[in-house]
Amino acid sequence: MNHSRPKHTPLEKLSSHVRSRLMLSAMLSILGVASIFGLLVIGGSYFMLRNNEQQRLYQGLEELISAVEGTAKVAAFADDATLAKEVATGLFSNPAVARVVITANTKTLVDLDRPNAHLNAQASQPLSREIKSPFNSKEIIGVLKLYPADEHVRQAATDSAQLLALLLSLELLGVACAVSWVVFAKVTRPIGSVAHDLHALKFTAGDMIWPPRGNEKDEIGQLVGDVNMMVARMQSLLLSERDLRDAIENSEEKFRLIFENAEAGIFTLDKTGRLHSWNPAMARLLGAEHFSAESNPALAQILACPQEKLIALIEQSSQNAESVWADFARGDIENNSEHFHIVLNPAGIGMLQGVCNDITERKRNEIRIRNLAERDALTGLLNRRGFEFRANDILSHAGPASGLTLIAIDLDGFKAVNDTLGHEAGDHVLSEVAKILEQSVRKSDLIARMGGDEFVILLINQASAETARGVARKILEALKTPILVSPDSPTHVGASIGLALWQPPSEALDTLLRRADQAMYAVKHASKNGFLLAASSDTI
Amino acid sequence: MLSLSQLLRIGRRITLALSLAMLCSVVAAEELVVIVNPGSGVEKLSRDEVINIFLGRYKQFPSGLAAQALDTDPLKARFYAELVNKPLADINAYWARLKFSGQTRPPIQAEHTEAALSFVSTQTSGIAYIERSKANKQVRIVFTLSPP
Repeated sequence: MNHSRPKHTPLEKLSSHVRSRLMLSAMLSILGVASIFGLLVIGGSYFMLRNNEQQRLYQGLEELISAVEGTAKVAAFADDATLAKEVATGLFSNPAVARVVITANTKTLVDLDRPNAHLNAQASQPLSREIKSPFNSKEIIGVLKLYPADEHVRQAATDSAQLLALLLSLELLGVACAVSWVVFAKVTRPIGSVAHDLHALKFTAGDMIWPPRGNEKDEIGQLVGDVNMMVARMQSLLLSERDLRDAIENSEEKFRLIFENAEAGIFTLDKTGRLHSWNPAMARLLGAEHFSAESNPALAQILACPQEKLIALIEQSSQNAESVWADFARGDIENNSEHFHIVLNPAGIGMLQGVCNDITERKRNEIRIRNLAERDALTGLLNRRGFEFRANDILSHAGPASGLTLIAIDLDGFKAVNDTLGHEAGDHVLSEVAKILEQSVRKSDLIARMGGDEFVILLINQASAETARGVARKILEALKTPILVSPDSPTHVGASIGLALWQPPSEALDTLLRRADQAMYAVKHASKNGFLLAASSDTI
Repeated sequence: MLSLSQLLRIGRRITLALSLAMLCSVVAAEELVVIVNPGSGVEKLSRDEVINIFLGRYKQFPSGLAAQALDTDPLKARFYAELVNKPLADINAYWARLKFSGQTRPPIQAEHTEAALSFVSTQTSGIAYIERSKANKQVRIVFTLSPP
């Protein structure tokens, strides 16, 4: 923090003064005004002075005449040329006198020119004085004519006027210099130093300008004080602005962290389904390759879903001003399909804000759990629960022409295999049987392992009993092939199969199952390794 | 019986005589007169002429005859006082100027009245001043000075 008065070197001071245009212009202005004023005043007064001086000199001559008047009277009265000449000579002691003529009673007593006078001392108008009788003031006895040396008078007046003009000029110059100095010392220098300091101000904390010495209490000091106050205020404003900026940056950083690091994809969308902004999670979830090329990628395209589905969702959100969601699947249904959960909210005019979550795992879990619930772990076939669930569903939607046939299968000789070759061998046999069954029917038919070595098949859309018998035969035929439990122990199992045709319109599943079971038991207790179709009218 | 106007006239005359007598008693001395030689041909002189002659302006009588003035010491101050109403100092200063640098000469200076008489009676150019009572037949009175 700079709290000490900055020291300027003398050279710095001098150079800054020379460069100070204010000072120079002020001084030039003062000198200019003084010059103009001086020229006008002195110029005007010069002539006035000269004329005054001339008048004064002529007046002086009049007084001179008065001085010699007494003697002139005597000389004129006595008609004395010698005395008259003495008077004239005396008058010549004044250099302004060029010629003296004294006449007494029309007789010229004396007519003298100044000795060594300039030749062109011809006067236009002589000063004339009537000489009165010394003994009778009413009687005029002569005339004294004094011819002034106009040249001399003019010169003397000019000299005098010039001297005065010079003095005035010097005085004016002195005053101008004094005023310049005072203006410099009192105004321009302090202002200049203040301006210089202000220019060099760095606006760092605590930086301030100093009032020039001697100006602390006057307007300049006040200006400096106000400037410092302004600077301090500006600095505090800058500081608070910086703090504000920092706070904003922190806040933005927080949101950015959330936005950038969110696990879920966050995005904004326009009404045509084009993405306007998205966080890195979006690219990670949906594949970065979709987001590199275009500035506004189409979401439907990324999700590989029909545009209409997305638009419908957008419309629903916008029109109802509510949050909507939908699940989107991408890829093959069978292998590696991805599932995304999209939530859309209206956000501003023409825009929506959305969240995208990858629910593939969840979906897989759902499937897995359902599978766990619905499928037999060993064979992958439906288990009892799964079969009943699905079969009930089919039966509830089935019509008279649905052609549903239930096949109940019980393996023959399986227990023996389990006991003799072990559970692992038994499991393997079951797996193989499951495969055989799957191969024997279509994909749309239901196959289930009901428990132990019991299997059921529900044929769907197969018209007749004959078809069912055909399937049973195929199965029995396939089971003839021994199953290799281990490389060197072929095993062989048979099957007792019961068939039951579903009785429309609304035969219940357990009734159907029972009928098929009964047919199967009939085979088991009889010959084994065969099949029997349950009679349609059989009831329990 | 005298009338009022007659009475006034008489009164006026008496006043005049008394005042004259008083004046005369105040002025102890007699009138001064200017005298010239009878042979000069000058009968009368005006005041100005007297002034001009005694103060050196004129060196001749109006007739052209040369004139030589004479001052009488005891009467000098009174003469000039009555002639030009100037103190003697001024007259002396006047002559001092002319004596020093000019060519005009002041009147001859005499100590007694008798000198004036004898001068004028013997010189045709002479002109002087005396008390009236002193004047004799050898001189002619050409001007009378009246007191100021």
